[in-house]
Amino acid sequence: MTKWITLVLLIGFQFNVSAHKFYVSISQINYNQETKSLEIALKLFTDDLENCINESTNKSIKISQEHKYDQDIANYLTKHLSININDKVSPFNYLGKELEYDVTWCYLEIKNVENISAIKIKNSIFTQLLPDQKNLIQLTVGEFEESTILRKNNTTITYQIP
Amino acid sequence: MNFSTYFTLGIEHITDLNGYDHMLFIAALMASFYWSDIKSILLQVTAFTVGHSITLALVSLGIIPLKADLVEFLIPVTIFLTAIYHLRGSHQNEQFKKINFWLAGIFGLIHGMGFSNFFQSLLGKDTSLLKPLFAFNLGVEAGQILFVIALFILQYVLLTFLKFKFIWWKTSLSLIAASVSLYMIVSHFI
Repeated sequence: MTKWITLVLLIGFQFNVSAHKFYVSISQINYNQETKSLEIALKLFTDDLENCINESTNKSIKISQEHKYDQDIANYLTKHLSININDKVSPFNYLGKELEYDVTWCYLEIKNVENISAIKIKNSIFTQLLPDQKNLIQLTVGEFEESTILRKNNTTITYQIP
Repeated sequence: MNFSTYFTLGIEHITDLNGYDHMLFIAALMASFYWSDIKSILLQVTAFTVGHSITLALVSLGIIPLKADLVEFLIPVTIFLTAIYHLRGSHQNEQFKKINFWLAGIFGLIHGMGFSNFFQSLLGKDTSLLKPLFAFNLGVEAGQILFVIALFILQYVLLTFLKFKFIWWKTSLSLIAASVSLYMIVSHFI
């Protein structure tokens, strides 16, 4: 009997084995009081970004230093990241990107932000394709610093800035 | 920086069912131990903790370089060697426990590099490192302790209520760890 259990366990464990791949991203969001702009830096795994864009657009892009696919990246981010400042939808501009090993840094900016009393962030980046994706939010507004982990079933966070 | 964010990420990393390599290593390391031998279990856990904390800090602080590919390859190797060692060893042998203690520490160094590989993907630009590192490491410790407790509760239930023999427990755990890690090693080359 126990031999059979062992055998079943042995076979069972052979599935679902791969290198420990992790599904995380960071959204660093900083309010720059001098320029009155909200600066956003996203750190995304490049392969996940490519896969998710390809899946949603039926293209097959390969991200490189060139600007060839920047529009696709910007479109994807607009669809999956949205920010409300003081209860108002605040669209961002895509400034550019930087490649670093296996990650892509994307830089975004919201201009003309006079003050922030409340900020709502919705981030569903990669969660459609990757159910275990965790999107880490790091917000800094002056002295106010807060971080949160967003997931597929919990993609929104609202911060009240004192 | 919020302590709880990185603490949670630490717990979730080690107990991640999508990547159970670290849990498999701990299981292999504990395969020959009986639940009531708490002192020995704690010693092994401590050795592993010291090992992985050292390299998690050194790699994350940039003091030693990280070769992620090499580490991802070496992790299943540590599991395989530990599992083979336990297939042949006995928990009643003091020499066995001593060597296992050193295996936990030295192989812990390799797992710590794996933790750092993950931890670095959680870092933004120009952020402070020490506080997140501390919180993340504590999270890893908490997750590891939870796993060890779960493992020995399972052992207790199987041996006490279901009357499984200890040798069955030890052998199947070692066999699972050995075969899964061998599979990981082989698939690294394909």
